Amino acid sequence: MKGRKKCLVTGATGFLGTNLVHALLRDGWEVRAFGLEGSETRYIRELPIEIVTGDVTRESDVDRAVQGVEVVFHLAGDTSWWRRNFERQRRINVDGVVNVANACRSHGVRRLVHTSTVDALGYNPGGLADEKWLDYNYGGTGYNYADTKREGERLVREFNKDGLEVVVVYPGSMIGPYDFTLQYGRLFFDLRDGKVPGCPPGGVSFGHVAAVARAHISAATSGRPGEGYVCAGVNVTYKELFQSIAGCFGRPAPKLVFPRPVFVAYGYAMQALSALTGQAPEVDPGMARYMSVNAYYDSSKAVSELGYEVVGLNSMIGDAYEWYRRNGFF
Amino acid sequence: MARPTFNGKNVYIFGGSSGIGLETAKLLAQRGSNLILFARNRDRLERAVEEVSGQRLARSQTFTSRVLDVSDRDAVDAVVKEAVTGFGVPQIVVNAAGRAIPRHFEEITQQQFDETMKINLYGVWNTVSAVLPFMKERGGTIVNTSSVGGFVGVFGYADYAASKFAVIGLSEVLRAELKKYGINVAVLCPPDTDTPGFEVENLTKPAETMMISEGAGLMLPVEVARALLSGIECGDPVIVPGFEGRLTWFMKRHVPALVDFVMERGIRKAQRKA
Repeated sequence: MKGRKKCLVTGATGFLGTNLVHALLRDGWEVRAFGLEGSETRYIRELPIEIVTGDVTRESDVDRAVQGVEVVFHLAGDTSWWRRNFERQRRINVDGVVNVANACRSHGVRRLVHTSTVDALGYNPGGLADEKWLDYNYGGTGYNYADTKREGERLVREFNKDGLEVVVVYPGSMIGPYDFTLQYGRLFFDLRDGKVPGCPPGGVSFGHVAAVARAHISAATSGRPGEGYVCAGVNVTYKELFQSIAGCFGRPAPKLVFPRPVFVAYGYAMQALSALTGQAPEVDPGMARYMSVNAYYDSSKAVSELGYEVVGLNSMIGDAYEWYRRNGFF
Repeated sequence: MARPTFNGKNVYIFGGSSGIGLETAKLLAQRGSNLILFARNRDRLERAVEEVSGQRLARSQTFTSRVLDVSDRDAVDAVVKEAVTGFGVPQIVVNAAGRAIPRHFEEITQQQFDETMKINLYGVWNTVSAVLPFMKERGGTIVNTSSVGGFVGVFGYADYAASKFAVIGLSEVLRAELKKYGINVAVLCPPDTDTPGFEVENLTKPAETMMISEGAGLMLPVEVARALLSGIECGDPVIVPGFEGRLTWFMKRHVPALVDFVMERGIRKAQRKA
């Protein structure tokens, strides 16, 4: 091979992005990291990479960033649940994707690995969903994140022609190192301190963030163009998840599992409270409904074609604990 | 500042292989802390880590150790820097390394004085200097160990008192200066405690010193460690374990003459006997 493969990672300052940048370097890639101005770069800035700041919703920023790379990993997305951010979320998750794909096209990028989410597929109330699942049952529930990610993915797939290869990755929930925004960190603190009153009634599919990052690299090197790959992981109830996390601290998880209507009502209460405080609610009705279903996924296609590793729950929770701990977050 | 919890915290204990440091480590292990112990003797450290591991609360806790002489500034800098990468950022630091060799002032050699100052005072200076750059960002707690002999000058403890009085002063300044980083600095002042160090002290103690300390009880290291943890939880600036210790602290501040009187009586009694 002559020279190292050069890539762009959007959303490189995020949770998955930071993991991907580290994994790419380990595999010998030349990395250009793209993140919003002012986002946290501390976990990548010491690395031998190029860091550029910009906004995926600004065409000129994206155009500049894409120049001269062979592969683009488009991770940047807005995962907000808060209604107030819905319009911006659409600009990022839909318009931003089109900007990136257009730039890839005009600069002759060979492959675009687009990070979607299992939520963009919907879920199977009677079992596991995979890439072929057709019933998008989050539609009309006010779950703007899934709606916009689904739309962005539909649009990006249309670019899979004329020399540009598009591969889609659908991560499930992720846990592991570099969760510096404490998406799950807060849950660790609250379970340690006994501040969680009960468990949501549903279940969720969890992957080790580092394994999902590695699967992205495989998607770039050996994924089939036009294909999508579910990289979800172990399917567990929230109660099992809470037990595993609380166990890190030698604490019991709450015994109570909220009945669905109670949990949704709690979401409404928190939403009403957030209207008064002006702060994003911890749980809103949409999130409560989301956490009340068993959204389980089958990752076997990614396992066989991308070598995606499904890591056991306790082992990935242990890795996350270890990262928070070492970095002094507890 | 919120009341600190010990569960999940990274704790550095200097002088953690025996005595008060070791007992503190064991109690913290029971409360979910992750511990790294520093001391000079590798065998003792290994035994201590094993003992501490036996007290663990949860599977995720980490216990480890590093060989270190706190009086060696360069070594402290290097070992702490390595520990931050190899173990993790400290949130609680306990300085428990120290020693006492009680003798009459006239019998204390220059070398003994130097060593006492290097271990008891410079040791604190060195470790605080080394951990501070890493603790500044998220804050935490630093506890330095002085002694009841750090606010009462006890017969036979000239070099020791010089070092331990200094630790109280240093800690008071640090408490004021490090507050802006969210670092709470406390100073622990235990009375005579039944540690390996105390046994060594008894070998050289002048008769007068024996007589003074006979009047006071001997605390167990675990009692001192318990007081230390609750002192951290309450954010106490000065942690004096035990009723007698606290009484001495109170009297020394408000009726110092009474403390002098009690001690002098012991000294005279011993001298009469001789």
